[in-house]
Parts: sequence; structure tokens; C-alpha cells
Amino acid sequence: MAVIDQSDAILVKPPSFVKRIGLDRPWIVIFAGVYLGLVVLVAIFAPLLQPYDHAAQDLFEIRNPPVFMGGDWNYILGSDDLGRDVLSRVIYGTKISVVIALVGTGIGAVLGSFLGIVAAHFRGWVDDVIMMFVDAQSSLPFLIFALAVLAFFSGSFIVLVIVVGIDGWERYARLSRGMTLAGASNTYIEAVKALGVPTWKVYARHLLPNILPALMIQFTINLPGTILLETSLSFLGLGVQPPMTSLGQMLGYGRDYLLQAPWIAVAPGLTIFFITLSISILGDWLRDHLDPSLR
Amino acid sequence: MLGFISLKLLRAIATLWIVVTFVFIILRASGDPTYVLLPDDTPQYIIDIYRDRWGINRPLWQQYFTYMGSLLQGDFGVSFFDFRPALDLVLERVPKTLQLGLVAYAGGAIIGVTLGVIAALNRNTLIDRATMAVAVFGYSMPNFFFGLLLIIVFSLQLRWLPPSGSDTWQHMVMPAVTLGLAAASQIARFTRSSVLEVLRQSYIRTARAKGASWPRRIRWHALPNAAIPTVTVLGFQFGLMIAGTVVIETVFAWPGMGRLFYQAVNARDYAVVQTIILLIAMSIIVINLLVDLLYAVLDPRVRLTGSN
Repeated sequence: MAVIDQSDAILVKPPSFVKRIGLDRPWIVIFAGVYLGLVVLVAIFAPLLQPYDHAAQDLFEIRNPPVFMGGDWNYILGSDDLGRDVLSRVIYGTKISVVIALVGTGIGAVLGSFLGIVAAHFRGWVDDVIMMFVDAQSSLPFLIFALAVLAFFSGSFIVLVIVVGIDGWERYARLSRGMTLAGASNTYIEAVKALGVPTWKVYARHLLPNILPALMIQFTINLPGTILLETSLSFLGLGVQPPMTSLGQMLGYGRDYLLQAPWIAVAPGLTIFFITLSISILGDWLRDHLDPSLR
Repeated sequence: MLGFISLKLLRAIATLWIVVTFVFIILRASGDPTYVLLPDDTPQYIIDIYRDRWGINRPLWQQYFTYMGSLLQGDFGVSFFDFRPALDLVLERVPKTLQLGLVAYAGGAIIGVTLGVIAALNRNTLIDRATMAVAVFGYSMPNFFFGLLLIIVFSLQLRWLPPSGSDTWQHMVMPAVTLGLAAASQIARFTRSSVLEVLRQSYIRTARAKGASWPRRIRWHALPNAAIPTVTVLGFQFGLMIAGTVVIETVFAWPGMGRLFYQAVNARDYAVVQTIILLIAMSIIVINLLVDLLYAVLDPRVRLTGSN
């Protein structure tokens, strides 16, 4: 190892002032964590935090600018073309987007991990068939298929959550299959098998805890993609349907008022951007600290 | 080598079959199209005529084989809205999408690979940090939001660039930048980590020990090896970029295939939706096949053992 470090030291120049002022330091990770914590709190306590109902219209108060653009404190982030409070809608939309992303990613994680373990357990043609679907899923752009499915089953919230969930299952499948194959040859697994522990118990009690950290990291890697999928679908008008709203749907609506009232689109857009950015930063940090071999 | 190619070819055909079957299932599971397309007060006997003509009253397996048969003959159905063959409708939009896609993809790939290599060779310096900061920004940014921001700044405030259409090169600037940004960021990040990975290998140390100069080590020992994983991500990005055109073409009203897909999906124009899905799937499968073959050219191990 010492030799490798030495050759690295020659290739790598000494740390710059960026490192000295700490751009790679935990403060940016802490900032990301605090922001995500806030988002989760907002999602949980959404009804309490909303100044107005997200769908309440007031046609005497249309397109009020936000406070920092000369508006008043009644509409902190301004109001939209129907006089709905943008802040209330961002709070409500955050809740819906976060719920869909978490439930969706959860569905993908459970489904994918399960299929991966099944493939590794049975091997043979079961493995081949599952891996064929994994290959198909990973080689095609899922957004196209999601749009088609939602067009044919229009407006169903359940279908939307399932579709968002299906995205990314193949990564968990690949990961859990590989780790199960590697884990099954470990002596401690052979030992519990020899003791006569039932197969499901071997997987649930002995193998799963060992592959769980890797699956958790995969969860954080997939989460921004899931959020972007839902917001893209809603932006295109095929995701969350009114009167319910999500951040993507608000953006799609605000698109028509970019000239007169850009805040309608910018407020939800920035919210999405900071969510995905924070998750990426936090995910990178987690990966580096929990599993240096992945990088 | 021949075994390797036939294995990849088989896999490509399997993927295509999954897609075709998936589209069939979705089309049939979503219900009877006569309810969607005919007015509510259509007499039953007319509905029956249409059900008979479209073959909806036949057993499912028969419908499946008829469907496969017509696809093989290049019959993708007729658009419900202007009654022209869906394939013609789609094909006339393809050049516009290729134009935008190729500019964005080539730009994204060149910038991404260059920045990735530069960042890796200057690891932990200001250049590296700045590049990676831009990359994180690039792939966290939702493309539709970035597009709208560009429109607000460059079309509405500065009035430099047109917000929609495709007539001049100025029209292409914003959609291509938006589409290329995400690709460039992902490629830069991936290239950087694969170059760093290669620099850690023992053969780089060996090259140094035998007295190869730094430029020589990088040019002849590190980069060719780092190219192998990078090619994979280039192929993968192609698929993502096609998905991106649906969003970007809609944002910038670019009259390509992506926008047609968005319109067809919203109008429930089944034949057009199906045609575009199959066309996209086919082109991606072909690209992946080419990437696999390129892989074999770049990496002799793949060629010899027939697997990667």
C-alpha cells in the first residue's frame, strides 16, 4: 500500500486553497443534511405549515409578486394565476413529491432485492429469465415507458406510484443477486445451513443483514432519479393530477407564466433542485464513508 | 469472437421481444379502444363493426400473433387523428431529433470526457473541485427546470435567443445546452473515477519504474485502459438522452420525435405512441450492441473469453 500511496503522491499535486477553505468539508454535507431534514419536516407537518389551502383561489389576488420582488407578506412567495398561494402549494407539493419518491423507491428496493435473491437462490433458468429482464430494463430509457403506461391508465395515483417504483428495481436486483451469490459461499452461511436452519430464515436472519448496508446506499443513489422521474412526469402533465399537486406539476403550470410571473415556476424548481442536490451530496458522502471500495 | 457476437445478438433480440410484448400488454390491458375513440352514443352494431375490424373480439393469443405479424411486415398502425400511417408520421420528425440529439450528445461526450480526464489528472486541485462541483450541479438539476431558467434569462430578460422553434442555429443553442448538460456531467464524473481507478493499477507503477515519462504513462498506459468503462457509460447516456428529448423538445417547442411522443401520449394516439417506443427501443438496442462490439475491440480479454 505504501508504494501505491507514493506513486499517487507524485501524480497528485498538493491540496489547494479550496480544500483549505473546506469546500469538501462536512459543512456542505451538514447543510445538505439540514435541508433534507427540513424537507422531511415540511412533508410531515405540511397541513400545519401551509398559510392557505393549496387549492384555495382568490381572483382578487392573482399574480402577486413574492416579498423579495416587492410583494407583501400575505403571499411570501407570491401567488399564481388563480390567486393560489405559491408557498402553500410548494409545501403541499413537496409533501406529495417526497411521499411518491420514498414509497416508489421503497417498492423498487423491495421488489428488486427480492428478485435478486430469488435469482441467486434458484440459479439456472430462473436466474437467466430475471437477468434478461434486468438487462432489458437497464438498457432502455424508463421515462418513455412510464409516459406510455400513464397515458393508457390515465390519472391513477396508484399507477403513478407503482410506475415510479418500478424504475430502478434492476439495480437492487443486480446488487442483491451478486451479494447473495458471494455470501452463500461464506462459511457462516454453510454453518447455519448445516445446523438445519430453514432456508427462509437463513436469508432473513443471516444474509439480509449483511447485504442491507449496500442496499441502503443504493437507495440514496436511486432517490434523486426517482424524484426527477416523478417531477418530469408531472411536469409533462401525466403524473400527479389536479387538485392534487406536486413540485413538477407546479413547474409545468408555471411554464405558461414565465414572462408575467416567473416565481410560479422558479419556486418549485429551486425546491426540487436543492432536494436532488442535497441527496447527491449526502449520498456521495455516505458512499465514501460507509464503503470506500465503491467510490 | 463469433460466440461473443451471437450471444450479444441473442440478448438484443430478447430485449426487443420484451419491449414488443410489453407494448402489446399495455395496449390491451388499458381497455377497449372503441370506448375511448367512438362517441358515447355510438350504436352497438357500429361498435361491433369496429371491434371486428380491429380484431378486439378475437382471442388474446390470436391478437398477439396478428400484432407481431403486422409489426414484422412494417405495419405499425394508423394514427387515430390524421389517419396517416404512424410510421410515416414518426419518420418525418426523426431528422429534427437527430439534429438536436447529435449536437447535444457529441458536445456532451467531448466536454464530459475532456473535463473528466483533466479533473482526474489534477486530482484534489482547484480544477478538480470546480469540475466536480459543476458536474454535481449538472446532474442534480432537473432538465426541464434548467430549460425554463435559460428561457427566463436568455429569451425573456436578455432577449438574445428565441425560446421556441427550430429555424436557425440560434434556436438550437438552448435545447442543446440543456440536453447536453446532464450527459456531460455524468460522463465527466464517470471518466474521472475510471481514470483514477486506472492510475492506481500496478501496471502504471511498472511503467513508471521502467522509466516511462509522465505524458507517456498517461497517453499510452492510463487512457486506453480508462476508455473501456467510459465507452459503456457513453452508450448508456445515449438512451437517457433520447428520454431527455421528450422533455426538452416539449419545453422548447422543438418539432422532433420527442415532442410528437408527448403530443401522442396526451392525445392517447396509440399507434404513434407504440411506433415511437419501438423505434427508440430498436435504436438503443442497436447502439448497445455497437458498444458491446467496441468493447470487444478495446479489450482483448472480452474477445478471447467471450464474456465481460
